Amino acid sequence: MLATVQLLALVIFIATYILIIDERIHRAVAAMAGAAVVVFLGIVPWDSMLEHIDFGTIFLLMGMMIIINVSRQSGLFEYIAIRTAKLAKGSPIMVLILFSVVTAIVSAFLDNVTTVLLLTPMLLYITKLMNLNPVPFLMAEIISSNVGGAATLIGDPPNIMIASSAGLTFNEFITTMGPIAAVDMVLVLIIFLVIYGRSMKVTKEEKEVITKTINNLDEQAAITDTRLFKKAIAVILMVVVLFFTHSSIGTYLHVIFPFVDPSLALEPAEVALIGAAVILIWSRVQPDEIFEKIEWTALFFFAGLFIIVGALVNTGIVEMVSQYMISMVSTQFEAMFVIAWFAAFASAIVDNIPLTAALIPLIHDLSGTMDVYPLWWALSLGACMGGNGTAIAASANIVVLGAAAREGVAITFMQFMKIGMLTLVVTVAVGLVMLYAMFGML
Amino acid sequence: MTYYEGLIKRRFKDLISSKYEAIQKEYSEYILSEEEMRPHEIKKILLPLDFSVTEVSESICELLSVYENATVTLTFITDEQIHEIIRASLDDAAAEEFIRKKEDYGERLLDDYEHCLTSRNIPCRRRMILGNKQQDILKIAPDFDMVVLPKCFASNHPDSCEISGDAIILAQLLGQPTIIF
Repeated sequence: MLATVQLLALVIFIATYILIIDERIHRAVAAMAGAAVVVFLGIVPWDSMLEHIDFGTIFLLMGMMIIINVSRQSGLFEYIAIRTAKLAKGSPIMVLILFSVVTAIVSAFLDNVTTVLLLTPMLLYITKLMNLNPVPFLMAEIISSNVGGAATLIGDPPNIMIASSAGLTFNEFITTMGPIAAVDMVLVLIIFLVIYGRSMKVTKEEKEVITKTINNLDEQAAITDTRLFKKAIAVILMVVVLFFTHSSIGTYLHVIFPFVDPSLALEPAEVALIGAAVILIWSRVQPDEIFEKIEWTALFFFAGLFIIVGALVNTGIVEMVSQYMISMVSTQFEAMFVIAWFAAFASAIVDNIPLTAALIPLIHDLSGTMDVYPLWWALSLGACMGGNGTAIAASANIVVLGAAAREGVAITFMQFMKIGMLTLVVTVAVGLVMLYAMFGML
Repeated sequence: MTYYEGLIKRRFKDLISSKYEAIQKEYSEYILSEEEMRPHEIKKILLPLDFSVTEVSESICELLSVYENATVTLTFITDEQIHEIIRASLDDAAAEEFIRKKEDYGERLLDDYEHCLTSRNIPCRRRMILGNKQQDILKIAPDFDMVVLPKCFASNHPDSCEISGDAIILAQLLGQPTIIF
């Protein structure tokens, strides 16, 4: 039987999540309101409130937002979009493949929302030129963004949250989730080519006209500031290198500077903030201009979520759920299966960010009874690939669908779900088998 | 609007707010709009000239040579209002002298432009009008596919002008594609 305080925490949690799903109230406001209520009622005492907020996630997001916003000013993303379009040489299938691969790669290292936001207008333009139905191209872009984002620690918000909470490194992510994302990406492309390949046909003459029109686009014209463009690329590369070496940076630095402690390690959030500082100093961009563009609503949304989930931890509800789960599953194999599939299908309904926030303390709680290391990967797999399940499952989906709707291209819920659920099932199933193989469970 | 459509709209607004408009604007600088993508055939080009044009622009002749099979109509306009003011304040002879001088200048300018265009195999016609520089162009422009306008058109200070008020107003009011040079 639940105590009153537990019941209150649960009601606030459910009510907030319903508001987040419905979005009649801005999700950041809903999360903050829920957090305010649990703090007001003393379920999360003011003194311990900050302990529940994962500042690793918040600062990593903030640092990456600064880097991306400065880079955006140089026209980097538009440049990538035009170059990708030109590489396709007027072939619809090549447009689908190249845009999907580029979206996946960029999403793996930069924010999914910005990636799809900047690639979608170009994709819509090309499909208009080709006089083809844009829906398969847009769907492939969404799914590639979610699959690509799964590959790295910084690729998708659920991964950032998992890594920050579980202390996982960038290299662990890329070596575990990278191969899964690569295999899933190939499968996604095969699915799209099998389903839509036949409808993606243009005549030779049309192909020539399309190629001529696209070749007339000047990618150099997209670069608004050549110096900033070069600096942005250099800083992004520096940040990627730092991410690869963050857990053992001391070992490398010790070789050059012997006074550096070889055991020195950087947190992923530190890497992002270092990158942000470097790009701001080097680019000489007005900082207030960039700080204004930080998505404060997203950061407050995350903070609010952490506090609401903290209320479930404080009241022992998470422990009760984990005890129930322990009674249902007896091995890591079963736990991974349950977490991956539950996270995938629940993400399709709730949105993968609040779902991951709720599942992280649950996995921490399971650590008393089993080694939870493989479970983090099952959660990452389920939450990231679950983002493909429905139109509302991930932020990238909303951005592409919203942008398409503004251009008069409608993708219905069912239309999305048919292909979304198919890819969800295939990518999670294959990913889970790969995880089992990696952890010697097959 | 269904619940689903409303939800996507709300979430899109909350996630992206005004960013999408800004991105569309950035893209519009190098991606053609749907209207611009439609082939627009240019067959007849109007090139108005007046006393403010002091030399032939080789670059505009070069640019117009891109429009294959287009005919350029060179139209020199003399301000009728000034002509009337001179007639009223001085006499008929002074007014006729004003017209003669302007027409002489116009003929020379038309000759130079005609040479510049025909040397690039651009067929052209020429007209001399006594009238209102702004109103007459607005009246005759609908017969043309494009208007090419000198940047200091109808300016009293062509040497120091960056762009004349009449050129700006005409560019805003004309329905045809307009090039200001």
